[in-house]
Amino acid sequence: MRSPLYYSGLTALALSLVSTPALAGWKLIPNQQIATVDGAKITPITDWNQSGTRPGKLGRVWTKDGMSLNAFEVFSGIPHGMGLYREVNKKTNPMPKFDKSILLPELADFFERSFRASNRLSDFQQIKAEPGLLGGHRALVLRYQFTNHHDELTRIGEARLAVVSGKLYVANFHAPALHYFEDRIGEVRTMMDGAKF
Amino acid sequence: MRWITAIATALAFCGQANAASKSKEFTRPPFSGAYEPAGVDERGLWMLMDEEERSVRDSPTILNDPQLRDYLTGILCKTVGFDRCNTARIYIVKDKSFNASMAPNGFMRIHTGLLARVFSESELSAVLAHEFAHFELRHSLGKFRNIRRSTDVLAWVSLAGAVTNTNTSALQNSIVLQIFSYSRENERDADLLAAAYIRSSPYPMHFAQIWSRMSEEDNANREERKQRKISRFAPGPTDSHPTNAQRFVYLAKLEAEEGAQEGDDGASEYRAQTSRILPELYSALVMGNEFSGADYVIRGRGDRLGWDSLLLTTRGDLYRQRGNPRDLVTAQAFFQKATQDEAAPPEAWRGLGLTSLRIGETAVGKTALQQYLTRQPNAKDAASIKMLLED
Amino acid sequence: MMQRFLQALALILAISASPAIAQEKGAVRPGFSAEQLVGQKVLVFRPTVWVGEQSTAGMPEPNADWTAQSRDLLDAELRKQRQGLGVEFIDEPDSYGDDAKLVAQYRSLFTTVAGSVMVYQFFPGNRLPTRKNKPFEWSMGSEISRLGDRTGARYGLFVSTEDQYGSTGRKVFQFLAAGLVGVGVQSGVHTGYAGLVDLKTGELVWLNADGQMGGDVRNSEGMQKRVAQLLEDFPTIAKRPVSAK
Repeated sequence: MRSPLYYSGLTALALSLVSTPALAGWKLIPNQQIATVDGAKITPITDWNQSGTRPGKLGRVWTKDGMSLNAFEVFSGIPHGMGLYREVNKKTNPMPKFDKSILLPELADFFERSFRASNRLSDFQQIKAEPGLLGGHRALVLRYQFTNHHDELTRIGEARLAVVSGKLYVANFHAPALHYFEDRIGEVRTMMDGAKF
Repeated sequence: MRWITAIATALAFCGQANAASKSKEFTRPPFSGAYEPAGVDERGLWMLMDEEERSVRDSPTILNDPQLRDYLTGILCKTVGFDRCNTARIYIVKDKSFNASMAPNGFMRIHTGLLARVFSESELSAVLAHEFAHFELRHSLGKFRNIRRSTDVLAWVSLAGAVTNTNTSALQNSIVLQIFSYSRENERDADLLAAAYIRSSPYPMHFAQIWSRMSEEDNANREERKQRKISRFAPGPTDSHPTNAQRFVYLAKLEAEEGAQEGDDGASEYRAQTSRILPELYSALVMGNEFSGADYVIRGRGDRLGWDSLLLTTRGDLYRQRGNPRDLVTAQAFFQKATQDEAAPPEAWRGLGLTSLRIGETAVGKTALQQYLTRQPNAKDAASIKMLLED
Repeated sequence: MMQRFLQALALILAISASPAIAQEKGAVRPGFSAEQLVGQKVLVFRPTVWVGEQSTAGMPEPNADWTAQSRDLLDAELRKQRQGLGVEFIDEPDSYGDDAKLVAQYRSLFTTVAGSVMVYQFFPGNRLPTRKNKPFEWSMGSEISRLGDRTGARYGLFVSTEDQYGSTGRKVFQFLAAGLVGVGVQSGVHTGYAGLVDLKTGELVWLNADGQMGGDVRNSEGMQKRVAQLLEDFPTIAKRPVSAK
């Protein structure tokens, strides 16, 4: 299963047919209520929707308007040796594996390689990588930008990666640079700050 | 087509004649100004291409670098003649696959993945010559004029030797040598015309080696993945184009002819021009997950154009990304060598710092990271690197 | 082969789970009506057109010839049919450099938003709980006003189509799948959107989304049919002829 971003909104329909929508199963995440996401506790300010399809073995993704317009991913407790996103093609496009001995600044590179692989990107740039917090833990906060060839819509993202007791925790949000990123990033930052792993 | 036959004859004779100066032996096929739209049909065709070009021009996937674009245009002009290249517009596409294409109204797209995999002006010139030859042949054969046929309407020419991550179909694991996929009748004409361009250009003919490197790169990845390698020089039972291997041999023969290797390959200029934007060309390889293929390409550039501190840093980053214990030691060595050059990019000290810390050489690591911050105080990751120094 | 079987299985499950495969649907933003277009200029953006083929695995491969031709036909047909709508349309002016790139980004954004509306609000099968049976309220962001400023247009019309024609392999798959459950599998993708945006607020005031468009966009008869479908239910107070179906 490829990342939905690989396809434009136009082919989302065809994709949804093959991805068995009966199993995709959206779940409403109501505002102001603590949501449990694989053991992590996140409190949204407004209503979101959680996809039944996981972006990775230990991840979940929320959206308000559809993943190509806003996507909020949460990964909890990825152990040493596991990849972040699900394999796109294990043989020809293997997902990089988390190495618990990497240094804080290198988390940005691990994210970039994982995200490029998952979305098949030629065009990805790290804009800024600085220390910050994810749910109270020291984290690498990465601002990035990318464009894929199919919909040609430039998107911005903010990813926070923290290593706690040798396991990786990630919260990631990306959306089109036009309007949609700025529209939600305030709320998303609040959710990332208040997350409890 | 008479002039093509003339060139072919000239080439055939050339093999027997004594070597003479390149420019005296060969002249380019006469340019009849054939790229102006003539008649209503063709004018409409050009307008269609103008719209296509507009969307290419405005796409966020285009690399806007006027200096690079002018440089590539110059190579094109030297290859096919200034009369032909005058109206050509070149667009550089941020795409890691080896590809270039040409539209009927003369705009060209060249992928960064292609620029990363050729190592001289002569090699790039050979690619452009072959493409231009197909383009010109289609044009002069009048295929443009029939715009209602559904199969071959606008005569796009695409040259894709795809070591590509964008081909995801399980059916497309192998390199597609699309240069060989034209019909047999077109191949020979195009080869001869391309050879004529190159022979009358200041460049030596360096084409066949590009394709053998593409094979090697793919095989390197296959070996790493324990997949069966593909032998491309012997036609096998599943090979639907038995002429591929023969054509490769034929091209190599053309290159081996007397005088074909004369001229300046422009390697050092190519190196200088591409070094300026090396991250744009190689970041997809370094941050990709085809380690063996990426290392093969970087090594190819180094062996051919020399190992400067920038390329050493690039290779170091590739090994650092894979990050096995042995890789970190190897990477550290690359960075150490790079930092011997005072003018090395700041990333060399960054890499030295990070790998040294990982290996446990804390003092060396911190010193290097401090150097990095001194040399690039506005680094994108300055704040997180600083944290490592405070620990 | 295994991959194809799994795809067939998934497709059959999908079809049996959601009997209503996407059709055409239009919506108007609450509070908007055709009267508001009277006396206003509508900026017509260059249509976004993508035409290609599906490989057996379902991956879309662009066909530059078909795309260029379709774009040209769509443009011509739009000009013809918009005359009957009783609205003052002006063409997107030529722009260059960053201006042109910005317009291109907004066109891409429209296509993406329209796709989300279609998949996540309009049609059963994948609707988001936050959108299902809710009012039609979508936005392109108010910064889009920069596009209207130059021309004095209050509204913008975006048109976007995507056609993936089934390749031979895909048609074989179609036949197989039909043989298994007696249900026709649509070979290819034929999607189209037409939308009206309030350039002052960025709000999408009208959208027509169709996931099963008719008309072969590679010829002019097909394009006539296609454009008629796209402009169906365009908010207008003008008298309209019965559209061809």
